[in-house]
Amino acid sequence: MNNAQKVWWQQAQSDHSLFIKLRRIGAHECHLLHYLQMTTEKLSKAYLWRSGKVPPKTHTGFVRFLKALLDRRSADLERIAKSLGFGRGVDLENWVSSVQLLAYALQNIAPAEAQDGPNPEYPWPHESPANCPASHNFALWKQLLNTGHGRKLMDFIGRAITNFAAYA
Amino acid sequence: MANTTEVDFDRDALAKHYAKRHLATDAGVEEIYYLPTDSPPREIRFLEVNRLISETTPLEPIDFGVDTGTADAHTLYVLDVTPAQWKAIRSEQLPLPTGWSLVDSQQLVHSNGNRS
Repeated sequence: MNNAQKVWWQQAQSDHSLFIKLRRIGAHECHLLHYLQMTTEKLSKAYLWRSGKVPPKTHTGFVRFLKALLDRRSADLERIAKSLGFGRGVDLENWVSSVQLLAYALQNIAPAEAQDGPNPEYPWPHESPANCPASHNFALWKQLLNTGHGRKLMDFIGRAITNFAAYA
Repeated sequence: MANTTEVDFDRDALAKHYAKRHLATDAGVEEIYYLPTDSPPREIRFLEVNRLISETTPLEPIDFGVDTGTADAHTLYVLDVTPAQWKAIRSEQLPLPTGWSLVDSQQLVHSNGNRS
């Protein structure tokens, strides 16, 4: 792991720990989604720094991170899969395929990607604000909380943060 | 003496392998183009047309960090573009990153899963 990866990982860990605390105290859904999205963004940047090249500044990195993980050599992939709670590389591959739309939804909920629609930070629409994130019920949060895919994705993010050194 | 690492490296075959995997695992990808012209011999360049990314995404190729420090070391760069951006690129209204070229590009896969 290079130094750039270390500092991005450190920030991702901090964001994720705050997500856990916010969830524990029953914070509004917008704050939970905000910190979960930021966790994945920073995790993705930590990973993509493994090449030593600067990743883009955009919020949209989580799906790239998942794809890049699967592109590792097959021997690495087996080891990575185990560190992330999967029995085999093919299990991780199948799961990534099945969770893509949810992963896109999480990365695209950042205000810059949300097309002036529901986002966890700013009232929308921008020109005539009528919706407040703090009082909004996010369909994405329901999916994360109430579906097996959603809960598995949150579990995966936690493992990916904790075990980052094993695959960085 | 020949360098065995160079002899063993089949860039075109590896490009097809990565493209197939990306199409299978990314619901947003509609088309994948392989751009070998002017790229270094151990570099694979993909342009991926993606319907689930927003227009705000800058045109920046990303190094996927696939394989470093081994005899098979190589680089995979992916440039994600929206369908509208792809249309603009093809009509030369939007430039590719410096050094990238569509000359002799190959469409490896498209959304029905067929490889060319």
